[in-house]
Order: sequence, then structure tokens, then C-alpha cells
Amino acid sequence: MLILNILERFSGFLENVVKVSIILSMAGIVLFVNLAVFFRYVLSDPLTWTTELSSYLLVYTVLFGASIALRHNQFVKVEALLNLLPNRLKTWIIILSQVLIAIFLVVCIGSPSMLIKKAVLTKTVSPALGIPMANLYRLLRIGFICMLFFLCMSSVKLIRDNLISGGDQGEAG
Amino acid sequence: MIASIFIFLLAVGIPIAFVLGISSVIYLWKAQMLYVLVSQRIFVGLDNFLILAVPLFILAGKIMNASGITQRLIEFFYIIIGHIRGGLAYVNIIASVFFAGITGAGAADTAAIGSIMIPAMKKEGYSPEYSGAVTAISSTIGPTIPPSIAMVVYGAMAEASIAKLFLAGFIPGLLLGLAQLLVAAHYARRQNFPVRQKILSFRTVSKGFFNTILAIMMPIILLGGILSGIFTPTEAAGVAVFYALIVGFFIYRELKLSSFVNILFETSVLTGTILIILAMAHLFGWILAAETVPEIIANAMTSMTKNPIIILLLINLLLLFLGTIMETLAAIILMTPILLPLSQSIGIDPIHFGIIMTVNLNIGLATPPLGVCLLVASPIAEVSLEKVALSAVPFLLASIAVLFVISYMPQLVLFLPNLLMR
Repeated sequence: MLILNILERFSGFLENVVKVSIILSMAGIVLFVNLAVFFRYVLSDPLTWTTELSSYLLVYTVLFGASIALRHNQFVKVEALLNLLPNRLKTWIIILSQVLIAIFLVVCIGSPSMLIKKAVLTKTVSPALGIPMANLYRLLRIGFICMLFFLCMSSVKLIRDNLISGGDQGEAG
Repeated sequence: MIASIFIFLLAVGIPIAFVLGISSVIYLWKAQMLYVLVSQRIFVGLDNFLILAVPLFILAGKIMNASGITQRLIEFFYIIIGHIRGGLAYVNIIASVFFAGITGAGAADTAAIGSIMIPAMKKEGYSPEYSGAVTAISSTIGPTIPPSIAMVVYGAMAEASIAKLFLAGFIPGLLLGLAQLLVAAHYARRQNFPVRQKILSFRTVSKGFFNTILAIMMPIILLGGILSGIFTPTEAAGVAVFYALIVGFFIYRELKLSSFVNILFETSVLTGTILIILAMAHLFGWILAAETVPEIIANAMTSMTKNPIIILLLINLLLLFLGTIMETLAAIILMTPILLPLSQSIGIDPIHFGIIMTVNLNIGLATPPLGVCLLVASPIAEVSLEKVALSAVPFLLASIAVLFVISYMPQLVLFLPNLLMR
């Protein structure tokens, strides 16, 4: 149980870090999109990098925003059928589906390897800002690792609340 | 094979984003293809300047909400039409139509307008279920009137002009509002709803008008900016946020920095849940295309009947069903790649089809089991979901009638875009 407590603390800490970073990223998107309009229309001196930077910030926001959503179970799903089942069976189905999602996320984590290797070899950089593309693909990987971590934490919580402490109380999922 | 896995995963309650992802990976594994495709398609799906408009419009709507704009909008219409028989129901519907110009998201509308209107309606003697039903159903108009997040998502999926979609939404949106006002008028007469005595003064009207003009200006600035080429739809969304911040911080002065930070956070998480679906759909869409699924479905449909009227009817029925069980944006992301080729094969304009999809799927916001607007309205009205849903039936039928009118009369939808954009 000690390990679980440490992990729980760490995930609380990680959540705060992610939270601050996506708030800043979102604020950045607003700023850069407006800067682009201002420079082009008011100053007649268009900026070239704003589109690219705000798009990359969006990639960041989506990946890490989704991992927070995974931690708090806020994903969009069809629950109509699931809600008809008894609570214990429902919990088991949710756990099984989380295992499936975890396998999928592992595939996602492994999947950018070739892209990264190729980008490192060819030294590809983004057109306007010159960011190495390999780093962007690594960011994708880190996003999926973060999702996997939060998914595991939410599974542990689900098992602890619904199966170990026994009883059918508590809303599964 | 992949279809049955897909439906099974969806039915056991796996989040839609992962249903798309897992089905794709299973396909890649069976076809012995490289998994590198997974991250490649996801990255390309997200690295898209167009979809940046989605979080920005959500953000603008939330900021306007937190700035007390809803309160002012309702006060204004209350002053003007509150004294007519059944007037509060009209206020509710009309406020929704105007509020739609700000958020373009249904549930936000229900929460914002409902929390003010439902208690007020109950106090004046309307039944709680009727108050809840009017609020829930009028909120479904929102996403049809620009700016609309649903249309941005459709535009990104269908590669259709978002400016044209925005313009095309005006007339159907107003028709929906009109249809619901008619139903409310019928009820007001039959149930003999209360009348409030009040004398209008020029002072109160002009003050109310000044307070709401800032809200009403928003869609005008946005569309004007897009149509005149000053900014792209994405930039328009960014400007909308800027405008909302100015109004919230400096004009109404009701927006707090702490609530702004909170809104940024909420928007980021919401964006994550919506756009991750879009990213996964980009992967899944590649597989659909590789397997020529849209063609197969289109051929199956057209082999049954060649009559475009019946095909359009079937598409509408399918979407109405999906709308009841699925979140609107998810359904648009999922169904556009499949249904758009089919609709084009029977000669429907992609802009017209986008409006049909938006109106259709939003009706589902006010139907069980997954009607977010009902889910939000019934606790505010303090009455069961079933009762609110039942009260909403006549309004729903009116909306469905409008849906069929705009489905079979493309002129109504395409009139504005054809007039203003060439």
C-alpha cells in the first residue's frame, strides 16, 4: 500500500504540473492567434511563425488535456447499455476495457519510434520555427505515456473502491 | 469484421476516441501493417490550424457566460416581451437564439439560461417540467446559429468552407426558433398562462438594448470579419476570445482573473476530450478509405433504392437515432466520412449536408438517453428527466418538422451563402 500512496501523491503532483502547463498553452494559443491578426492587419507586417506555434500548442493541449480527462473519467462514451448491468459486472467490464485501452496506449507509445529515427537521421525541422520534428514526435510519445499513467491510476482507484472494499456501493466509472 | 469489433467496443462503454484507436490497431495488426501509421495519422490530425477554432470558440462562450452576458440578454427580452401571455417561454426561446451567437454549444446554453429562466418561470406559475422542457429544447437551436463548433468540426472533416456553413446556418436557426415559438404560443393560449402587468419605459428599453448589443454584435463582427477576408475562421475565433475578454474585464467588469484561469483549464480538458476523438478518427478514416467502406455503404444504399428523397430520409433517420445515443461532435466526426460521399452521390451540396447534420444531431441534445440539455435542465427544474422529456415532445416534433423542411428545400439553406459568397 505504501507504493500506492507514493504513486497517488506523484500523480497528484503530475496533475498539477500538467494543469499549469495546459493553462499556459491555451493562453498562448489565444495570444498568438490574436498577434497574427494584429500584425497582419494593423501593422501590415505578417508574422510567419504564429500559425505553426499555435498549432503545436494545440497538439500539446489536446494530448495533456486528454490525459487529465482520463484521470477524471471525462471521456465521451456511450453508456446507455452499460448502465443496465448490475454494478459488479459493470465494474469488471470497465476494468477489462481499461486493460484494452492500456494495450492500445502501449502501441501508441511505441509507434513514433520510426518517425523519430527518421527525423533524427534527416534532421527534419519544422518550416517556420525550425523545431526538430523528432522532438515533436517525442512530445506525442510523452503525451501517451502520461495518459497511460493516469489510466493506470484510475484503474487502481476503481479496483480499490469497488472490488477490494467490497459491496456494490459507489458509482462505478 | 472491423465493424462488429467497433460496435462491440462502443456498446461496452469504451470512450469513442479509444474505440476508434483500438479498432484501427486491430485492423493494422491483422493486415500486418506498420504501427508507425498510428502516431503519424494522430499527429497530422491534430496539427491543423482549422480545428484550432474549436477550443477558441468554446473559450469565447465560456468567458461571455462568466461575464454575466446571459443575465443581461434575458433582462432585455424580459423587458420587451415578458408582459405577453406566456411571455417567459418566449423570452427563454428568443434569448437562446441570441445567446447562440456567442457559444455555439447546447449544454452551456441550458445551464446559463436555465439557471435564470427556470426559477423565474416556476415562480410565475409555469409547471417545472414545461419550464425545463422549453429551456432544454431551445438550447438545441444554438449550434445551428453561427458561430458553431459543430460546423467547424464538420468543415474540417468535409473540407467545406466554414464561412459558407456559418452563413447557411442563419435561416435554419431562425426557422427552428420560429417553430418553437409557435408551439409555445399554442400552449400559452391553451393553458392560459399568466400575464404580467408592466409598463414599458423608453429608458429601461434603451438601457437593456445597450447592455445586450455587445452580445448581439459578436456574430456580426465574426461573420463580417470572415466574409470580408480580414481573418480566417480560426482567427475569428481568436478575435472572439479577445472581444469576450474585453467585454468581461473592462465593460461589464464581472470577469475575475481567477475564473478566467479556471475557464482556460476547463477548456483545455474539454478540448482534449473532443479533439482526441478527431485525431483518432483521422487514423480510422484512413482505414475506412483504404477499405473503401464509404463506397460500400453508398452502393448498398443505392442498390436498395435510387430515390434521393428516400435516401435522404434514411440518412436523417439514422442520424436522429445516433443523436439520441451519441455526443453531437463525436457523431459528426464519425459519420461525416461515411455519409458525405453517399449524400454527394445523390446530389446534395456538402454545405447543405453539413447543416442537415448539425440540425439533426442537435435535436438529440433534448432526447433521452443521452440528451445533455435534458440532463442539465431537469435538476435545475427539480423534476424528473422523464417528465421534462415528455413535455419536450411537441417542441421536438416541431424541430423535426423544420429538419425535414430544410432537408428537402436546399434553397433555404444555400440562399445566404450563394448570395454573399461566390
